Amino acid sequence: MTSSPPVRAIRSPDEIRATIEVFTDLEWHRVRKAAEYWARAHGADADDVMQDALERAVDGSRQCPADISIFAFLSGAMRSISGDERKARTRRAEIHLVAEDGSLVVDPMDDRPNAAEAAQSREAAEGIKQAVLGLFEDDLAAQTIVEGDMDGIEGEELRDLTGLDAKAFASKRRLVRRRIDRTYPKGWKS
Amino acid sequence: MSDPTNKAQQALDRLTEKLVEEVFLASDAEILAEAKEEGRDVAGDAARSRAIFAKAVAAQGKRKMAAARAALNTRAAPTTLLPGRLTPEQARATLARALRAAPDAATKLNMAARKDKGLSDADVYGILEDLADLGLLPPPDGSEAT
Repeated sequence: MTSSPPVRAIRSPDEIRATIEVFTDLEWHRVRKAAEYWARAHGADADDVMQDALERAVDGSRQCPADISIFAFLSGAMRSISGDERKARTRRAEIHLVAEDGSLVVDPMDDRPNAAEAAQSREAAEGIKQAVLGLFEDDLAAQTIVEGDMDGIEGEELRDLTGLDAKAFASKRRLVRRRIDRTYPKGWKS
Repeated sequence: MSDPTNKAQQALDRLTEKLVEEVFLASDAEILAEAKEEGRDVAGDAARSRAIFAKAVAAQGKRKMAAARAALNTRAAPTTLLPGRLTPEQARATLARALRAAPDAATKLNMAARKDKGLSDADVYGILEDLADLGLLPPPDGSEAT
């Protein structure tokens, strides 16, 4: 006998809206900071990213599983919106040319980066990555945290790699974030 | 979605995800202390964010209203009667209305049909079906559909 997969409970748009409506000042401040991080990471505008994410949340076009916090949900939406915005900026628009014989030549829009652009973008990202790691040359534990985050190493495994106890690890994390914030107030720049 | 071949960008995105996560996990006291250090106005930021939320809700409200209006228009649009669903009396009344509404069509029918005289029920249904095919059936007046 086959069993169907469990149905994941989803928050209704009304439920999401009601939750957001009662955000405190500090909760809004956190959401705004998240919007700023995602906007800066992808060169987008924080207000636009935030508004798009909120629209998608209340119109139900993006579903929020009930077991995910509303903040994680909004952050995911903002990440995807800011990423899409960057992609849209790098798209080459449709080009219309008039040939010598007077005929119209249309070169359609291409949303794929060409090989040169892709290589340039990879190179720029690699440069930023190395620069961010370089910020922590003087602090091996902090550098390990940054490298671990970049590689997707989670929780205890990462803490073990740093050799720090829970309190020192949390404090080191704060130091990492503050240093990145100070160095890159306007986003990742090579 | 970032370029799957751009591993460094993906690494930076994972780092950003952690930075954001930390903002949500930090205590209120930490967040307030940070905001103070950065010279940020938490209440002002919140007010700006609430205004953005209000805009998002208003935009969604407008879309909902437009969808409701479109649905209403669809429901209100006159529907064509299905002759087979009318009683013989309703069919004759409908034929009379159709002929009044489309006198050009009436001229193409024979005298008996125009006067609705000597027409069997089957004739009436047949004519209504022809008129339906031509798109000449009047919308229901609320009394004929069964």
